[in-house]
Amino acid sequence: MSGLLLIALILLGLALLLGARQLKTRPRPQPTPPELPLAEQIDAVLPQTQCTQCGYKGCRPYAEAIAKGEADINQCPPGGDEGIAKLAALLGRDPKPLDTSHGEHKPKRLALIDESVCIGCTLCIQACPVDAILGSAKHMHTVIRSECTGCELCVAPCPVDCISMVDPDAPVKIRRRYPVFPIKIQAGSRPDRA
Amino acid sequence: MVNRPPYRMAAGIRLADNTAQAHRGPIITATLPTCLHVPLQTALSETARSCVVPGQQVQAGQKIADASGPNTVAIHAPAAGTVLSIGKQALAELAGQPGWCITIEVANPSSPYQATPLAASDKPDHLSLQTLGLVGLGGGGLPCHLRLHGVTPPIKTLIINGVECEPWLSCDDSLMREHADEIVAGIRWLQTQLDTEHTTLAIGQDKPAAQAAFKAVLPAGIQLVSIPPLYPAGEDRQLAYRLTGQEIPASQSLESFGIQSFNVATVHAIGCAILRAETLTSRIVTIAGNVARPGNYRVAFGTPVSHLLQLAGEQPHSTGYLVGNPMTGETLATTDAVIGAGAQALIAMNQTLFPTTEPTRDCIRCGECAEVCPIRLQPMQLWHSLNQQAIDQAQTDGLFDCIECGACSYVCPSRIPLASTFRVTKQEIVQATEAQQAADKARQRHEFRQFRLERDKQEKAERLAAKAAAKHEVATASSDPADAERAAKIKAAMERAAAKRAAAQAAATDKPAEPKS
Repeated sequence: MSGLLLIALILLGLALLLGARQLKTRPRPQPTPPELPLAEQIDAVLPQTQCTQCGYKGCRPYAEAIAKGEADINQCPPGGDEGIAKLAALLGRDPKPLDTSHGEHKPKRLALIDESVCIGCTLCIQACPVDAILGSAKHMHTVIRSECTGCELCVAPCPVDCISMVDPDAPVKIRRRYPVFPIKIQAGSRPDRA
Repeated sequence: MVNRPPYRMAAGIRLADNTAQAHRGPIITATLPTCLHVPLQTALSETARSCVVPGQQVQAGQKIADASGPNTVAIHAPAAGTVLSIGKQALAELAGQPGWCITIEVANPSSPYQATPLAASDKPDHLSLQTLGLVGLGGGGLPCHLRLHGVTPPIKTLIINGVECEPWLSCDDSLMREHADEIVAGIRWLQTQLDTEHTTLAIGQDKPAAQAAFKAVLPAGIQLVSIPPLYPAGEDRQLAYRLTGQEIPASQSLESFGIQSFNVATVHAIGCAILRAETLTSRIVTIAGNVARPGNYRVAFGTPVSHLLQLAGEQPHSTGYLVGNPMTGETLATTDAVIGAGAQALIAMNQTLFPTTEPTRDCIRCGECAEVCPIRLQPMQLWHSLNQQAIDQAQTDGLFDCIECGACSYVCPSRIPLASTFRVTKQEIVQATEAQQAADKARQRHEFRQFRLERDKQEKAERLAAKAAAKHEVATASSDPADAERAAKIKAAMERAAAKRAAAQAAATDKPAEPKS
């Protein structure tokens, strides 16, 4: 009888010991971080190209418009279908195809300034949304490759069309020297030099 | 000979020994092709800077590219000839992906390759592993000087890896049998450079000839350990555990535990470099499979795969070509790909040697993969997590600890490509993380730009306001009595005008109220 009691006591002791160890090693629930405002959550998912193709002035304004319900989730061409899927999952909506009126999805390309053609007008520097172009007035400009988002906003303002969008891995090809046309002065047309 | 029993590996697989085919004969020196495309890229995907121009004549052993930074090494011409071009070529070790190469038209094609010392014209003042172009030949291709200089903490244990547990491969074995003395010279030099306490030479148990060759020349202070051929016993971390009992996590390097490991082929190259100032311009490649003359060939870097297949007498009906470790290697899409430092083997596949794999079936949770996993992961669990898109769960279950040895895929009865799925997923996760980091940086820069523009605008407005105020002050604080008189007159006129306006407004507001009352 006492033998049975002893066995029961040993088992009880073991159960308590193992239970205590189990409790000790069980992972404690981590405190969840405070939830960000919806616009910020949406902004975190957007590709941050800042290309303005969605019709807003940048990724943040577009995120705010989506949060307010003013914009649809399929207006971001750089994000493509993958980006739309992420937005749809975040907002609990059905994904939809990209609205191609805002542009087509294409792989990321980088801006390249043909440095032999650049005249140093600074227009592209003013257009770049992420300050990825370096240069100053009447001096050559160049793109900082690691910072370029491929938004293409610098291409249109260039007065000498020396910016092209290139595949990041493609070898760099210099297009041509800046064309200089000799101007012939007719005799007698410049009285001050005559 | 064996002073200490090796620690036991967690798991592994015993593979069919396919080495016999290429193993028999001595090392064959491959002839040179008409054109060599010498790769400039190292394992860290950085490229050496070319120092030759198309049309230039080069001598064998002449430097054709300079190290462009600490992560690259100098590259030398394997044979005399003319530089044709510098461009991208498919690299065999990267499964046919393109990389930068210098193309040299060989002066004496179909003559055998000859190892040559650094050309006298380019002898730098300080001969180093970097200027001699030494990189790891065990498949990793890491520049050797990175593993010798500036390593902390000091290296106590030096491991020379001659296990070669992969099926088909016998390139290290042939080198150990024929060039044990040069390997020993390399080991002794490494010992003095690293100032190590223990040096262990690990050789697979299935290589008695290599062990015998070393027994004759091995000096005191180098321990020879025989390792049972259990795949993947030759993996660096596995071998370090077996020899020292030290487990090394995936996030840390061997060096951080005071251990350094070199492949025997690398040590042989180091030995040749210090004995004869030989540059690294070739490696031993095991050519086997569907070929008439299988064997271990000494191949100059930049030799196209098609040339080697022709040398070895490729038989008809090949279904593909494997390069590197056959357990993890990828098949080549093109035979134009060129051999670099990382290509240990070239195996021509055919239907009898590599029958078409059966289609993938569902996982039956047999647990075979978990039993053979050398780092004790649960591959089936990772597979299920990845199938359910639970990437985070897979990462907590140790996806990034996977060494991609391929043992799980080999034993899977459902023929699930486990290891390659893990490899691809890891690459995708790394890419997604990099893209997210780039996006975060772009957001930061955009926000700072907005802030800067706003700040400039405000500063400009403030500056203008301050300028206007200063102008006004100058006008009002003038000491000229005429100015003061004029100011008083203007003030009185303005007051009068204001009074008149107020009276007119009062009259206007009173008027419409009249008819109502």
